[in-house]
Amino acid sequence: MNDGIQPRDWEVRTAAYRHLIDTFTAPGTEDLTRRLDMPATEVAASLERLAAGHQIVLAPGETRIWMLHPFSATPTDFPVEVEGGTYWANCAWDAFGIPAVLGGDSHTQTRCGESGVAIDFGVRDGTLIGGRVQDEGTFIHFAVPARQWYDNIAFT
Amino acid sequence: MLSFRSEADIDLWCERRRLARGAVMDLELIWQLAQVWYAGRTSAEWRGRSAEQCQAIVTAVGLDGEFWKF
Repeated sequence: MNDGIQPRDWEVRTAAYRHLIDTFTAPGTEDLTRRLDMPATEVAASLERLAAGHQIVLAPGETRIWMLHPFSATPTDFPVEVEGGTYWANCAWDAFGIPAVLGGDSHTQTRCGESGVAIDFGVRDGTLIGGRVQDEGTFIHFAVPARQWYDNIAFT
Repeated sequence: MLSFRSEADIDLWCERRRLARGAVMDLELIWQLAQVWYAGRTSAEWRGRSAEQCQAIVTAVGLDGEFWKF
C-alpha cells in the first residue's frame, strides 16, 4: 500500500503527529505548510498519497486529517486524558494505543456500547487500571475481520 | 471497536444490528496488543507495515483464525 508514497510524504506524516501530540489538535494544511516550509498544494498532495497508502485517514472528500491512528482529529466516545490535556481515540483499542505511543499514564471514561453504563479504564506506570463495573469485566468487540478494516475504517 | 460491560451486551449489540459476533478480548489483551501494534507509530522512521508484519504481531499475542488474517 506504500508504493505511491514519496520520501517527503513521510516527513509530512511525522510533522502531523508532532503537531497533534504537542497541541492536542490535528494540524490543518496551513499548520503543516508552516512547520515544513512547504507549499500548501504539496502538503495536500502528500496527505492524499498518505491516505491512499493507509498511513493516515482524511475526512471523506476533503484533505482534512480525520485520523492519525491511534488519535482522532475529532471528538469521539473515547477521550484519553493524559498529563496536560485530553486526546481523542478512534475506538476502544486506540484508547490504549495513545498511552502506548506516548508512554505515560492515561484515563478514559466511556460507556458500554450496548447498555450505556459508564466504563472507565486506563494505564498507570505501564499497567492497566480500571475496566471493571461492579462484578462485570470490560470487553472489547472487534466487529470486522482484520482484512476488511479499511473497507470502512470508521466501523471496525 | 467498542467497549462493553459484558459478553451478553456484545451479543445483544450484534443481534440488534444483525451482525455476526466478531472477536472479543479483555482489557489485558487489548493493552498488550496496543503496545506492540502501535510501537514506533509516531517515529520519523515509520514506513508502514506489510500484511506479513501485521500478521506476525497479532500472532505473537495469540490471535489466530480467519478473523485475524491480513
